[in-house]
Amino acid sequence: MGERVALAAAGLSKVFARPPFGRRVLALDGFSVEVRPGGILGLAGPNGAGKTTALCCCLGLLAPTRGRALLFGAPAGAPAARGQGGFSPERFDLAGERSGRETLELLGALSGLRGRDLEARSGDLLARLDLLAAADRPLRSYSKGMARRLSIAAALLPDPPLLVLDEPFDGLDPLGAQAVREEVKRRAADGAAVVLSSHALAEVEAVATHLMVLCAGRTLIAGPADAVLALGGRCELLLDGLDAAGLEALRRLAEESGARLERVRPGRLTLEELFRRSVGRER
Amino acid sequence: MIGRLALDAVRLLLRGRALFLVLGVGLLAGLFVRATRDTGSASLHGALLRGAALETLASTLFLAGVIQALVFGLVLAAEDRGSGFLAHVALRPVGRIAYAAGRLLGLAAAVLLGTLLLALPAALLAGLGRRDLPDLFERVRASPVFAGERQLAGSEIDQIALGRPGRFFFPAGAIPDATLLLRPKVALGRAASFSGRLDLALTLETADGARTRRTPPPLRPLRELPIRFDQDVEGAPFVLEVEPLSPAFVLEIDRDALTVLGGKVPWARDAALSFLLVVLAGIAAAALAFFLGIALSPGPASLSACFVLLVGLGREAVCDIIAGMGGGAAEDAGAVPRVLRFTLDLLARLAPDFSSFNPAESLGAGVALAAPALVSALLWCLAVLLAALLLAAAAAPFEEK
Repeated sequence: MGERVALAAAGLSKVFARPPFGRRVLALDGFSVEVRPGGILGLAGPNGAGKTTALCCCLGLLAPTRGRALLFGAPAGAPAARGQGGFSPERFDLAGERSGRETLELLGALSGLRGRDLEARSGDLLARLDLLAAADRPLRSYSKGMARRLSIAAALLPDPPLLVLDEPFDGLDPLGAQAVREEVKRRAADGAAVVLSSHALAEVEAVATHLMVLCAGRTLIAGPADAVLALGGRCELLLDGLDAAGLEALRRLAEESGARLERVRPGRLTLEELFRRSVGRER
Repeated sequence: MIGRLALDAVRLLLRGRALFLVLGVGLLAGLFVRATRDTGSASLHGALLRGAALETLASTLFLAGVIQALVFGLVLAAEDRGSGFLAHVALRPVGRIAYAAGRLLGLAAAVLLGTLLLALPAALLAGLGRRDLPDLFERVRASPVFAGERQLAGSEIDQIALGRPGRFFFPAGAIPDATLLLRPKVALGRAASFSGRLDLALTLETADGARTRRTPPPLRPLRELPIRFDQDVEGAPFVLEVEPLSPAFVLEIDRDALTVLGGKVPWARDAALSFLLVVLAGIAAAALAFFLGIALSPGPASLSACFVLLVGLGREAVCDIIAGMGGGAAEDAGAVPRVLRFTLDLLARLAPDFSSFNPAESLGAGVALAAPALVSALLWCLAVLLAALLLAAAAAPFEEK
């Protein structure tokens, strides 16, 4: 585990026991991972797979039963590790009287930002995550998606070298999801390490450089996204202006080369593309 | 950093709907006090209730202030713990002590401002300005105090039993014809039997040697009951003798247990002291509720805080139950009543005695708050605040073990 590793976890396990005589639940079993600057790790898995537990253990918000996690070489939860990670928790339902701008400025101040720098960064993030119009409204009036974007903005505010997002796409419309995807890619391109967990598999697939699938606390699959998702010997073609004769010629060509044309269907938009084209134009 | 957290707490607690909530609590508490305590306490205690307006104001402020403080503490803990805010804070370079100190400082400021707001509906409901203001008197404590032949020193506590009277010397200027306050404490564990009633004889001995004997109505344990003593000593020093008459019981007695009334004091000073005491009690209650909320999560914390509040407010009722359960001969009581009585007694002793913070207890009796009450309240609140600071810092789920 060298110094360049942003997040290094080895053998993390977590057992929850409900007091006083409750059943013991193994929520995480031998979770190990390394995330380097510029990398984006996507965590997937069914409900109760241990994704949130893994993230909290990695950040020191939850003490693991076994194993340990290091953030840039410092033990997670130690004072030296504070300020290294930005976290957007799964649950962020502030119901208070703060406005979005006040929330960001408070959390920014707690990160050590001051004055005009703080104001400028808050304003910039509010604009990029499409929250500027609601910036001065009380949080209790925010929709679920707006609260989610604000939580992500709060995590991004101090420009942390490690960004951890738990269910960042939950409650977001396609345009909001796109804004978050772009922000994640931009941060990674700037050298930050990113870890995100989500049930929105298409979104995870679109940004992750590495993937990991958890189930019942155990790691089923882990590796670079290209390697994990690769299907040997299969490919997809997208052709424009193909008529019946052309299609027949294509079929013969495939047979002659020993391949088989499995499926042909007319081109169509995805619902997300349709949404982005129509609603995006209105905005 | 501490200032930011404190300011944020005040903003959360006193803006928007919270403001109307505070005023609503004040209004309801005022209506409740007017309906239940305004005139009731005068006949109940036989006190010198000459200023019901001020008593209503103080009672309303106290009741509304404590409720408001508990709500503030729980709301802030719920906001921090249950919403994800604490997870954001925990990953920033903020120490636990700084976090807890900022939140408690904010709670204190919110309680102070909230109590100021509550004073408005309370004053309107009390009719302050439209009704007579009270004549208030300072309490005068006896010194020296004798238990039998032994003189008690400092705040020493002793027991006086049958045939062993306590003697209390009051200096010149005290008024024995006003209400006399006696707070008997029965040592249940040591009493061979306890009927639930304490019969006493009081003898007033003036400077010229004249003795007047009275047998007041039976007292109940752990309650402070005023006893009227109609005699004018014209400002001369006098001695009061307390003699237990009930067989086989001991009466715990201390120097501060017996007070009479002295000269008049301005009502404004007393009202200011009352307000200060309410604020201090509110800060302590809010700190306690915040700690419970952070340590236990809001649900169990609400139940715990409500339980503490109810037992505290119902403390006198519990004392009455204890007294009532001793109505028969205690030595004939079965095991179950004994265990019940012991449990209730323990509960009453453990429960916070809110009456010591309730200015109406004093104002209603026409007695001004004495400086020692303020000092003890201040020390109590500081102790609670310090404990809450450390406990909240330790319990804040920056990291769950």
